[in-house]
Amino acid sequence: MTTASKESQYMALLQQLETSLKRGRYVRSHELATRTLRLAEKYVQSDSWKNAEEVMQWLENTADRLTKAAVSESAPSNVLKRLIKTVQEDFMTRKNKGKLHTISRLDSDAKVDYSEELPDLRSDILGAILDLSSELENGAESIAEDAEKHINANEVIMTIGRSRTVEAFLKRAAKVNKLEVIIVKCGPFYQGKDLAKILSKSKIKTTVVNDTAAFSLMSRVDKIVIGTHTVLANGGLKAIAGCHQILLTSKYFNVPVLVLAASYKLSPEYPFSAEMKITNRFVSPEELIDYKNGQMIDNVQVYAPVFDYVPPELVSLFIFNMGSHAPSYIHRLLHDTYTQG
Amino acid sequence: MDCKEDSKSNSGGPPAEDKSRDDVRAQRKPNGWQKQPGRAKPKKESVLQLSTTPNRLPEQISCCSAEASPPLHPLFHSIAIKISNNVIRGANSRCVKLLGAIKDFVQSYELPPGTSWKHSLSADLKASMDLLKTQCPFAISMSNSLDFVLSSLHNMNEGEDRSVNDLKGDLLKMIDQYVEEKVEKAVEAIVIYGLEKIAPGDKIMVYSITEAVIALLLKAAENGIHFELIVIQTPESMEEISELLNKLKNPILNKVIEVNSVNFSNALYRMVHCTKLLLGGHGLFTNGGVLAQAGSGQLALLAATYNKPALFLCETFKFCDRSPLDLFSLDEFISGAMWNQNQPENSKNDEEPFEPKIMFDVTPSTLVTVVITDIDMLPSNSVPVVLRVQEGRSLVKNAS
Repeated sequence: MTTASKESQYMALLQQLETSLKRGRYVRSHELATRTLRLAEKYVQSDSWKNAEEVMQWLENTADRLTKAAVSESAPSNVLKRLIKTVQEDFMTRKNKGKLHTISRLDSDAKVDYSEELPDLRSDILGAILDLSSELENGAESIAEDAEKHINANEVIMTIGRSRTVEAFLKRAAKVNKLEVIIVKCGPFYQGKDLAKILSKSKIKTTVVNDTAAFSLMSRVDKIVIGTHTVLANGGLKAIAGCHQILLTSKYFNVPVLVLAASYKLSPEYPFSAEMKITNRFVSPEELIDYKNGQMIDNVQVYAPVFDYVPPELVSLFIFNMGSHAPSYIHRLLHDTYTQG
Repeated sequence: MDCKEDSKSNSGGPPAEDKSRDDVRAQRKPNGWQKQPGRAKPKKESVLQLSTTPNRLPEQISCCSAEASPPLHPLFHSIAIKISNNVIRGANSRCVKLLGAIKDFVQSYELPPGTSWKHSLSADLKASMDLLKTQCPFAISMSNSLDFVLSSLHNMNEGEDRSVNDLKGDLLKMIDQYVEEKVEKAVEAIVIYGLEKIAPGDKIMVYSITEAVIALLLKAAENGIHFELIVIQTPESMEEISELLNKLKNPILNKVIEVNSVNFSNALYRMVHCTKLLLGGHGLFTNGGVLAQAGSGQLALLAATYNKPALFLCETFKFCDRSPLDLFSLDEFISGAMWNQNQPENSKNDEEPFEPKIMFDVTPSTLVTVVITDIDMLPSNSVPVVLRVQEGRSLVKNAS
């Protein structure tokens, strides 16, 4: 394959991804992360770069571009930013190969010159991308491996909305122990019902309720297990709307909250406010209001945001595919995953 | 909403009264209403059912009592069906409709020979109500009004000089008075107290919409108080919201108030902006807990977290001499979970998830800022005091 065609390939991929982000044509952040990674792979394979500096520059620019396409979605930029760190590390190991104990710390003050051309860098980066993509693929499974550690026999687990990670986690837990699941449906999509159907098909005792019932049922719940859209830099969550209230209730009843998240959900962003005006997404309230009531509601403004900000104090434990951590540890994890500044 | 159908059934006179009980029983269809509670029984065992004491399960009650006791009087039967299908909604209208039916029952009551009117009516009414309780959710307002009828019946002076018709007239008058004073006037009194708490520029979040809430908001708007209304909507409360918005839909009022609406899940989004949370109560317990539409507890907690006051509106006829620690000990919870399952087909399949509709929850008194009642604005813990005063029990008597 010629260089030119490879270049046009990644440009086309980038454009496709950008368009679907802008038009809101995506289902899950996992899909976005995978597509972004494929895009990065194509770029690295192409001949459009000479040295690490150029790769990093491109990754950063693309992350910005994709963020602008859909501000509420952080998965693409998380993946790309993580790659920047990987490129830096690969560059340093390659450069210092053969030298004895001169590995300079990345966060040291000395400015590193990344413009040096290293012939083996390309294969190193491609290897790292391969690792990351297998991590993405097996993320839910490796999180589910922790299920037995956290869920004991005969526990009542509450979950909010639909998450594939939670689905795998609960199925795994149900293999070992008998458990009962209460699924809370939240607006505007009320997706919890789909998860309920799947779980009861695999013979797990499942109850579905609307989010209004969470307060009444909380006293019977042993643990809450939820997925999230994004884990923010302060250890808070950007999760589906309704989470904040329900997790407040769990705090009121002292029920522990486990948050399952694959590593690409970890974002270096800090929350702006409890409102999350800037990074929220708003959808049409057509699901919520019947148009036959149009006459009645002609003077009413209806809002339908998709996400809630959940402060870190409402989370007891994060389970990532690289291990479980308390919310206070997130800053350390960020330090390991992303470049500083 | 349901006025037309109800007035039909209530003013229908004494329909099946002259039929003997055996006839009525013979007409009963095998798969008719009597089977309903059994149908609604969830197939799957769940935490929700573990809590219900077995002898209170409705289908068991009806199994035991079906042969021994007479079938439910048609007047009450129509109410039972309407309540369990949520045609008669809200504690106020349930109470008024029940009292209406009791009035018809009293009016058409035929005294079995050789018995005292007072005692036999009281016994028959009690039996009917016990049966009714197995057929539909029995709101606190309903059991309170029933208690009132039974106790006024008990206190009646059945002297030699008084005919059955006199007594009947007295009882009907007392019931009318109860409806007027305890229900209708109470709403007016709550509006007067509640207006003190609505200031120009307020942003009021409303949930658990009851008659009192609608009346208060309407009055405030009519008085020209500019405020912003944030309506929290759930699929279950669309009826009440339509009623509220329809009443506020008026060119003059539209200039005074601004209406926003968010889904229940998005309450956080507007909570930050609002200045107070206004909720209607369906019942108030002696431990200060307020029974209101499911989700009220969550909203009150959210309001407490963001330092917004949570005001409940609750008439005194909904005060209740019980103190449930959680919702599971409440009849209304059980009935809510059992009767409102709209999935008779699906529940046959074991692979379908259990989907109860929980209609109420109890907001603990710590999350209630104030309860606006028709006698005063009270902290929710003062229910026992109100109940004691109402019942005329004095402190000394209680102590001894």
